[in-house]
Amino acid sequence: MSSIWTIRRSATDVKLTGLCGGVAQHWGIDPVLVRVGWVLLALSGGLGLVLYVAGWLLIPVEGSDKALAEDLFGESVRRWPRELWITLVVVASLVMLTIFGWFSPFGFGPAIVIAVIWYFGFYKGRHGKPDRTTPPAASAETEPAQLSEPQFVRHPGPATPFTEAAEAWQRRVEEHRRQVAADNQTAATPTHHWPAPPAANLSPSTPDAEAAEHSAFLAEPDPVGIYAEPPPAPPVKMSGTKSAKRLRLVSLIVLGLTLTGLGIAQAVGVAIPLAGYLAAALLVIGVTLLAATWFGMARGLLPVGVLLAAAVLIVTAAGPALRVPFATSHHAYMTVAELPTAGDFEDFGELSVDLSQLALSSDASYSAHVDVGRLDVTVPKDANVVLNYTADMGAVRAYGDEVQAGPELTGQIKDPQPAQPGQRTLTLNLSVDAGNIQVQR
Amino acid sequence: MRKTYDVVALIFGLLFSCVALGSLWLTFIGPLNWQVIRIVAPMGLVAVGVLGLVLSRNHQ
Repeated sequence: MSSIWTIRRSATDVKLTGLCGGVAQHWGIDPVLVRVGWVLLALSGGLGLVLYVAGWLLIPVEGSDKALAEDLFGESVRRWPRELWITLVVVASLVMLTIFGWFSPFGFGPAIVIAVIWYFGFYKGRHGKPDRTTPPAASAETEPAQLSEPQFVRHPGPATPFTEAAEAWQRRVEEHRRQVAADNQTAATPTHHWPAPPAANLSPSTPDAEAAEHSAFLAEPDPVGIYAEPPPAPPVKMSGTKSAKRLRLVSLIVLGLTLTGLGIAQAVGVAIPLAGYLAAALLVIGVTLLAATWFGMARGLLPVGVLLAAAVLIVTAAGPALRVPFATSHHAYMTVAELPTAGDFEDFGELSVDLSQLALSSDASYSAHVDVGRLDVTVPKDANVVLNYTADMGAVRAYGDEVQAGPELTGQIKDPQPAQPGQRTLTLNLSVDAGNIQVQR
Repeated sequence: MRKTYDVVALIFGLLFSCVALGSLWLTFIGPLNWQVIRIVAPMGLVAVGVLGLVLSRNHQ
């Protein structure tokens, strides 16, 4: 039972989809450890998210052999080869790593650590060593004197054909054990064989009708049906309690009232951006989930909350509200001596430099760098300006025209105004990692 | 009889509420103090994680 293809999502230990519970149950480890490991994996460039969604779609819940992907995409996906699914998961993981890997808080470290722990601490421990729990057959045979008297379980009720056959078989096994023990004591190199099993069909000449009946009984693989496959357990529903349903109804009413209130406020003149509506709805879902801690979570609340949270983050980040926290630095220099030798630097935000009043007594150079954001430089009117720029990603505008836009920008721009005799040269070395460079006069 | 809690609902409820309140603050009131959030947010996430672990263990 070590193959990953036999994993089933748990129907009893369910937090989101039962995947972590199923994995923990499959490999016999603490489900909390599996969940912590999966969260760490999700922080490794989103790798855990891809694997979780893949597991949710492709792994059936226990008691069922039908994966969620078959419900969503039809029965035909069952015929897709396993290699195709592996390829899809690998491609999705690579895409996720490419998109989100660069700002992953932990890099790929957790994924590597988890893989090493799983391989050396678990997989190799179970597959690399021989099974010590089952002693070799030879050692059992070479120690016949240590055989103890077997303790057979007796059926307490009235004798049936099955119990009589079982007792006969037990007696037969015991006779064989004793015979082997005797042979080992008398012979140096014993060779023994198991007696032939009872014949399934006795010949018609057998006089003992009862023995024939026993033999026929034993010939059937499961004569009394005690090894019948148990019926599959129905999947446990997330939450179908009456209080959970009531809570969902209340949350829907509160959500409707909240959005209606915001709409009325907007109608009377209050400016309410889209982020306001989405955040208010998310707050209602969040408070409902807090209440669901005690009353039980109604189905659908969590997916709605996840979608709303993603929408709120995107809309808020794209809106004007988030531009405020960007740092804005202003510098103005009048003389060459004031220019910082190491240049100016801003890690996140806007760096605005005013050199329009700079008195150039000699040729000079100025450097500035912004990690993420905007670099804005105003140059003096009477100087010959040479602009050297570098941008990993972004755009460069100079003197009202867009020079370049896109990734890996680098170049030099000469001053568009004609050079004057005796004019001093100001060399600008401007760079951004991601953002815009703008130079104007 | 021991009281049981839905830990998943609690964790996600806390996270969603915090995100919603932050967004509402940014939208209607003004800028957030990111210096404070840089300290409070990781500590809050750790606290939420510890809370979830403790409640999960008690639940089991």
